[in-house]
Amino acid sequence: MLTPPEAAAPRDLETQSDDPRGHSSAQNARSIEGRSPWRLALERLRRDRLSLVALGVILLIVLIAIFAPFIAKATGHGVDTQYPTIGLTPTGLPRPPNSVFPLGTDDLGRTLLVRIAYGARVSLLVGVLATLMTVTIGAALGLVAGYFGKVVDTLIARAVDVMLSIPFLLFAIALASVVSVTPLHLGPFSLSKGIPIVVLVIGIFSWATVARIVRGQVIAIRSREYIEAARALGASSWRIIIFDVLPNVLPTIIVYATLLIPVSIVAEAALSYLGVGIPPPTADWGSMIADAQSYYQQAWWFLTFPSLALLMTTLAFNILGDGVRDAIDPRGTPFKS
Amino acid sequence: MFLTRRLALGILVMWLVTVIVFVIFYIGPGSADVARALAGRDAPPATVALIARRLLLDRPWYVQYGHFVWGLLHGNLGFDYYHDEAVTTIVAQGIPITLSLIVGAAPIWLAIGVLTGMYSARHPRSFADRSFTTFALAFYSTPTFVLGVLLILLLYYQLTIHGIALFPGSGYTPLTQNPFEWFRGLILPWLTLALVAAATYTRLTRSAMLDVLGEDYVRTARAKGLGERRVVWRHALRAALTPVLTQFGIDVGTLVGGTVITEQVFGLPGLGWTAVHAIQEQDLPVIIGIVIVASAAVVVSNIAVDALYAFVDPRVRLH
Repeated sequence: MLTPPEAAAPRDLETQSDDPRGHSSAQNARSIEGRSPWRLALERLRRDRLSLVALGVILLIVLIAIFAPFIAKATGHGVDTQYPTIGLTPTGLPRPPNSVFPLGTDDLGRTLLVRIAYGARVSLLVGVLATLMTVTIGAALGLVAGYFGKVVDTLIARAVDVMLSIPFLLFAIALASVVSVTPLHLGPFSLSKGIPIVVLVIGIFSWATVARIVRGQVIAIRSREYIEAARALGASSWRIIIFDVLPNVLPTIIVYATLLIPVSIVAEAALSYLGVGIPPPTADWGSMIADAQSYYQQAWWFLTFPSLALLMTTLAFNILGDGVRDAIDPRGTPFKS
Repeated sequence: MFLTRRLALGILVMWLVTVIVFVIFYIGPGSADVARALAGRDAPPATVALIARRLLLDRPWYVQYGHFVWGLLHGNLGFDYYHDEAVTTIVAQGIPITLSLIVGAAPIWLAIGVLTGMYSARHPRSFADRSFTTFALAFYSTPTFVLGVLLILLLYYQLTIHGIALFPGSGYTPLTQNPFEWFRGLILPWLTLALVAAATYTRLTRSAMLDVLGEDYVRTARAKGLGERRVVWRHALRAALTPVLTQFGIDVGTLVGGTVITEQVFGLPGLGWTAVHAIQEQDLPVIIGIVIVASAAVVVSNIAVDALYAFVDPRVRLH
């Protein structure tokens, strides 16, 4: 017999409604106090065990990234130090995990553990910075397009259409390679390779979705009474956008940003895998996997450990992102139920 | 009317794509650099100047852009810098391989995604639902190249060294040459593309189906005494498929330029692989040609999706 979805609905309401009346009476008796939506969201997130585990994993990876030099010191191996004699087999192949090299070595006889720890730095840094850039551009354009409408909106909406029709990876690798030949001059900075370029490339090609979502929300908010009231009081458009509209689209932006971090991390790793991301010898998960692909028949550890590191990071961020979404917007169809 | 507007928008988007491509590749690197890069490190200045003149690199940008668009309108994508081969020929060589990838992977991910999503929605919170959603999240988080190399490691290498040579590790056999080898060689790339994509469809179908199953007309259909199978497959699925179809159209279109990584992992010389190699050689006409073909695929598939809407969801036809 089929379980009608209605049967599940009351339970959903009880645990997830942000309406205090939805709580059981026992809980109500214990604490009747005004709680801000943010606090309610945080409390819901704290009850989500899977998200907490994901958060723990993320914190662990952050710690590994921060303390990568200490890991290097503990093993006594530098991140770029090559050990051609003890780190490679007599035939020049990577060494399997042993007491000297806990996760084995790579194709140049470098310590895999240390390189994976340093790789976390690149992944997290690019993931967070690229997401910040994407969200900033997207939110700014979405707010402007949604609030002002008319020509501005049409222009931005068409720009969004164009950006969404562009094959991201093709353009990204093309732009990254063009820039690596002819450095990009931004004021006093001359960018050619490395983290700033990767962040820029990801940001330039990913803002469209954010802009589209924010624009839709702003259009729905624009005609509300409190906006009109603000305008009647003589508030300027920019004041209204920043103080009245932005706080109301912020939850959406935060949810989207959490889910964008793993996407940006994968994008960075993919660019590096294709050889147009972070240049060697910087330790990076994507380029490690690319290097390891030539040795997968002889050195499974070389391929497996960086892959696992990348996989665990993206999985943890995605689980947390889902949790944050369910916590902030409990009415949406929860993915995990 | 709707479609005419959609078509006009598509043309506008394509025009803007050509402008962006042009800016990135022609104006960005600077014409002197392009000629210099082509001529090689030790070429005398005369050679560089000759190359610049032959490729119109010494002319103002609007002449270059005009030449570029004129060629484009005549279906001419120019000639590659190194072997003077027509870019249309190079693109035409890559297309069958990329299309083979998409044609095989799309049904797999659509079937896996829609079936698991439907099952999950009909049995929410069941063990199967939880497993499906967990798997979906795991595959959704897996970068394509990680899945690809792991499949090669496990299903090609480990099986082969244990005497079960089911799949080749890389390479492409044309369909016309040997259909069986074509199929065998593409199974792992198909799985790579499909498993990652299917995850999105499981999540999408599940949430769309849950929404639809709660709607009044589904209750009405049940109240009329229709069989459960008919209610789910005929009435509910039809409406639930709308967002799935949108995503499918977008994904298939995007995939023309988005199989880069899969092609790279499995050494399949399709469009993406060709583009990556052209980029390594700074062979601009080839990169531009592939980028334009890939963008056109996205635009065309978006229009096709909008047209298909009307057929699947009766509610759209009323508007």
